[in-house]
Amino acid sequence: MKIFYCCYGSAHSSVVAAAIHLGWLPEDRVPGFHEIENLPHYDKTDSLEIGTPFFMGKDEKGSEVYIIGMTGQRQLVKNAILSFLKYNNIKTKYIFFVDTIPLVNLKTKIGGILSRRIGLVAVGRPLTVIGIQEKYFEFVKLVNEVKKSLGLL
Amino acid sequence: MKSVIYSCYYGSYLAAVAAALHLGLIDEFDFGKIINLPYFGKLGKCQWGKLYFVGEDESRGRIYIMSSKKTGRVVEKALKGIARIYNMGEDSVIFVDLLPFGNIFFAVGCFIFQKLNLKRIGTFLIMMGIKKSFKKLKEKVENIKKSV
Repeated sequence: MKIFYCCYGSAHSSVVAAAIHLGWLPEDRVPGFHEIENLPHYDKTDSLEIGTPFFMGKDEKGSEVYIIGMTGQRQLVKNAILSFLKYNNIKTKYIFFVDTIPLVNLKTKIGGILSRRIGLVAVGRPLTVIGIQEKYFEFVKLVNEVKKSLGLL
Repeated sequence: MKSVIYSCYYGSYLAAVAAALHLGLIDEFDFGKIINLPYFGKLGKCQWGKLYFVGEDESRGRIYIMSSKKTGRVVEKALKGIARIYNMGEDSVIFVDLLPFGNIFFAVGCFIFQKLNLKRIGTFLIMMGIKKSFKKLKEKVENIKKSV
């Protein structure tokens, strides 16, 4: 099974969701600034890398967890991936896309623009973390719902 | 096996012409032939992003067309990444974004056709746009064929 957590640029919300899925972040408390900032790929994906699926790890059930940025064209990119796989006779039954964009609040959005697009990392990165911390338990809820629906819990 | 994916904003104009050039279905600009090409002007909103198989070339390259709107670069990265994950190799995907081959006639024609639903005048302008870009498009396809 392959699970792709998708967001705009694979730099913030998808990274956090994948990290919760893989047990790198706690489920019972809001992680600190450095716990989030030090996650692989967190606030690091370059705009030229958007679209590239990054492997994050395997969960306890052996499912592969990826992150991928799809800009504002998530349906279009998903269509492209699924039709490409079908033409190559690869079953898409065990591929799941989880959209994390609905969990991105204004702080994470503005922080992401400042850091990734304008290059003001010192200002943008902390703002993204604050935004993530504010919505953290919703990320935990989403991941648990995903795990439950896929029979991974 | 290589997958050559010709892509443009709507997927059914420049991409359809490029795929036809690649497969030898057309050689020169021909209004009648182009308008009857497979998928020409026929891919709507719900088909955006989906690949459409047009044919196989003499080197067994599989030729597809698709709409990637303005996100060709993102789609290319995604498909190459997926090819890598499934052990097909990134090089098995040749993604050709034809967005830069559009011109003002083409853009206005697409707008009139797709947004205003004025098909006749839209098609006329689209064809004018294709005619203007045809030589460059043909050169691009020839280079792609060499690389395949």
